[in-house]
Amino acid sequence: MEKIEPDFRPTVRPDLPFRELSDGGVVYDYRTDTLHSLNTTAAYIWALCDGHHTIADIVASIRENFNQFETDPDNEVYQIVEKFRTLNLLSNV
Amino acid sequence: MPIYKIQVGAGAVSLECNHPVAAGVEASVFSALLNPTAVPAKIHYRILMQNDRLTLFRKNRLTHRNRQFARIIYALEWQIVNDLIEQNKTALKLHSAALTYRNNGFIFCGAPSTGKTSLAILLIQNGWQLLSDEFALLNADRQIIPFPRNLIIKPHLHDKVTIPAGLPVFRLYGDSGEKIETHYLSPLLFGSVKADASAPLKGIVFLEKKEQTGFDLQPIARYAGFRLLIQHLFNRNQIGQQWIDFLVDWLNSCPLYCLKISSPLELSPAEQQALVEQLIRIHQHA
Repeated sequence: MEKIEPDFRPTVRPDLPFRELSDGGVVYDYRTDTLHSLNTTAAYIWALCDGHHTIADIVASIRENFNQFETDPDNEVYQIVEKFRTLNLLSNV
Repeated sequence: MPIYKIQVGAGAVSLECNHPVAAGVEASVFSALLNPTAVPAKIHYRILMQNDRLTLFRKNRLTHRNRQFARIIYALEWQIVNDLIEQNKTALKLHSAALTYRNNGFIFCGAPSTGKTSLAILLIQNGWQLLSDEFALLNADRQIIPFPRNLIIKPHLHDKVTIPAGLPVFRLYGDSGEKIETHYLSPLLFGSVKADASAPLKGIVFLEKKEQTGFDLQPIARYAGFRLLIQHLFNRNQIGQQWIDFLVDWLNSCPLYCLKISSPLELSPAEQQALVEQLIRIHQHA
């Protein structure tokens, strides 16, 4: 699998229902009967994986809206999007 | 012959039996739910004594015949439970105990032997009302439908609970498939039940076995709670894809806690008191 580049525009699969919780969200894959629980950050990133935002956009948005990171948020965003991709939750890989 | 009605939410069954059997039925798993009636429900059961054997009929069809009363009651129980769940089509069934405190409903979800029944007994003794042991029925309006069957007292509780003499023994399958001896004990022996109306869901507590004595009650994240809740859900396919919205709605509207506990009835009186007070505080935050 290719390395995720800053200009990559991740797009979540349209058939996956996302439900927002007050501290995150859940994604349920009916096809495989698999549940994915997302914490606040992952749920925020999920909402931005709409095919319009690049990884760089997402990182910038995270920097602007979250101040909870002790480490660099770049790494967090790349890790989470990579996880989405590994779990086959993205329509573009 | 007396006829009893068992009403649970939108579901109802009736049961007719002669007098010697009636005494046993009144001491059975359904004792807190039986109400005399003159009109049989659509799903009507009869227990008759025929040639030294008890026979169980459902809608006039023979389903079981046995000499042992306990076997007939066991067969009756699972049939009635299935009927009532089937009739409450839009309710989700969770592996949990459910209790209410001042009309604030709580469910206590947990795998077998995590302390659901023991905790139910402790809370009933402290003024809470039992809605159900073993499993809870919840509808889309976040209402817990009462189903206060008798408490199933498994062997690990035999020395912690006073079992009235003469109570029948029911042999069920334990967690590892082994046969275990159980008693069905009326929750009314410990306090009161709520059987007449549903209670709004105000809190969800997940029980986890703790190796050391004592307890630890901590709030948990909702996204983590979803994963736990789904593990205790029996019939999510019954209502189609809506179940996910039910769960999200419950999680977004109630406090969510994890209770790590060894055995509620083995706590010291001070610990028991502290646990009850902490659970009441959850309800106050609800």
